[in-house]
Amino acid sequence: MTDGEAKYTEAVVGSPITAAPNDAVMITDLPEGTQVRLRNGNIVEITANPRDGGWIFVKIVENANDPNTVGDEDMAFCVDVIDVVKRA
Amino acid sequence: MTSLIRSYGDRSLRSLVDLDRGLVSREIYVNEDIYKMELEQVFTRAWLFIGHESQVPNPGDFVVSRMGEEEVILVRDRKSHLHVFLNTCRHRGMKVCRYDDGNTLVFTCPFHGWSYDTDGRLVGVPYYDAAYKGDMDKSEWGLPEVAQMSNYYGSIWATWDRSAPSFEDYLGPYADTVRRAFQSSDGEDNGVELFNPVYKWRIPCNWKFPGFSFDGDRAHAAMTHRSINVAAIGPQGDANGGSRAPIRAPFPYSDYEMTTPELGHGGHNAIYEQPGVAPYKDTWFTEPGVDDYFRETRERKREKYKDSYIVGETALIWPNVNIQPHRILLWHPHAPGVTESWRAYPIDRAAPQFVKDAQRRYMMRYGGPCGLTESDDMENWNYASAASVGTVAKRYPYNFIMGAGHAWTDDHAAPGMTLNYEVAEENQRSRLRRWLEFMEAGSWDDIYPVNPVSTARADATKAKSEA
Repeated sequence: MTDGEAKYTEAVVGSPITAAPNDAVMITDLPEGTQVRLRNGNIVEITANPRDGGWIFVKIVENANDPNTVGDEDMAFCVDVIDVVKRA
Repeated sequence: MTSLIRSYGDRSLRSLVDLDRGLVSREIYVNEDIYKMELEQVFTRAWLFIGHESQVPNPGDFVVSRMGEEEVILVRDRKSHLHVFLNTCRHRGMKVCRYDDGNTLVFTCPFHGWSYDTDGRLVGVPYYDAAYKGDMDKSEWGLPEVAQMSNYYGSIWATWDRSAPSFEDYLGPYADTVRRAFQSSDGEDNGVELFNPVYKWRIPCNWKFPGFSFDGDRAHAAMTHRSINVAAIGPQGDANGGSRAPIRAPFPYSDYEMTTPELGHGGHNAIYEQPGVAPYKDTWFTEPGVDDYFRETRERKREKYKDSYIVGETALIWPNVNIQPHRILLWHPHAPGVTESWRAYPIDRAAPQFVKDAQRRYMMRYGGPCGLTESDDMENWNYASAASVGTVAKRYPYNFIMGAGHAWTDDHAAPGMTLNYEVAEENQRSRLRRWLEFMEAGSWDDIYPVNPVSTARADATKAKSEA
């Protein structure tokens, strides 16, 4: 269990009216180039930010479970972004 | 619904619209069931004006528009392709876009977070892997897109009906009218941009009041606009130059009501006695430099069109958009007794800013929600609506008799058109006839290209030969 998963569990228990964890990072104003950690442990770099507070476009930088995905592009949902590891 | 309305009470729709006698029941302007039927029979079938490509010049640019009562998004995707989508999330229906215009990478629903790319694809679904477990194919849940879209010299039109004819076929002889409306003043195609933002306001009348009378009701002008015509509404800026006529700088011409009864389009149009474009006449007396600009562009246009006879300068493009020089008027149905009125103003894209500003100020003074002429019009439509909903009032049909049976055709000067005296109700009858056809039709096969109901042109030709 990662630190992020532990926080997620606590948040759900402590907030029965919502399934959304409250440990997530506010992503709205994160600029392109910022690297963030996702709840699954992956580290990704923001390639574009629609600034809707919901999603960011990312490129995978680290994936311990599947290194072959490094460089792949994806989208990340707000509640899955748990830490900023490198500011742009 | 359809069968109910087709036999409304003991009356059919056809009995409510008796164009042979020029009698039209007030019911079609106030009845809620008929209104709901219009949304389906008319506004999901007809080609409707959406906007202009100048409103979305860059990838990700979007502007919210309307088709009938429903909001749509005109957006340029990342590959610069234009799309028109219904503004509703496929999950629970929330609007995915709540801005009038802007630029975005995605349209993210603020309800549960479903996110759509600018090409309409559903690209983001929260908890997709964990919660849906592969049971939902995102490719099947994109934003609803119109069945057909046309970029016609920069203007964007769309229909929800795959079986509708092509947009150019839909326009028929009024294709040139639409093309010219989006030319710059020197006659270059797609030479304009629209003022941003588009004016939007609601007026308490059925959409057909303005839609079916604009460019089809010249008789109203002398009375309705008497005060403002006297007070000076031209761009000249002084009472002595108050007439609007100088800005049209006409050649010798004759004015007519013209219409294509088979298609429902029509306007007040001139037939000029010589080819070409008239010389420019100075008219912007209080706006230094504006006349210089338009004089120069007019000369270029005159050279380009020196051998052309121009017919059809204004028109209602059926069902709800009026095309006029310098303005596009949209009459969106909003409720049986409410019209959401939009104004879009084209201006030369290459014009200097001071020319654009001068024209914007003039158009604000002339039309729109606070414009002097349309305030006159709105007062009539609004009170006419209010005075038409009563039980007793609805016993008395509207009178559309003016000029009935006196139309003619002239396939040399105005091919495809039916003509009537310049003050007539030919266009309004044409629009009502087309309305009836759409309301009764099962599909486009019933109403295009051969129109079994529309007998106006045949009648008109017969009347001319008998005369």
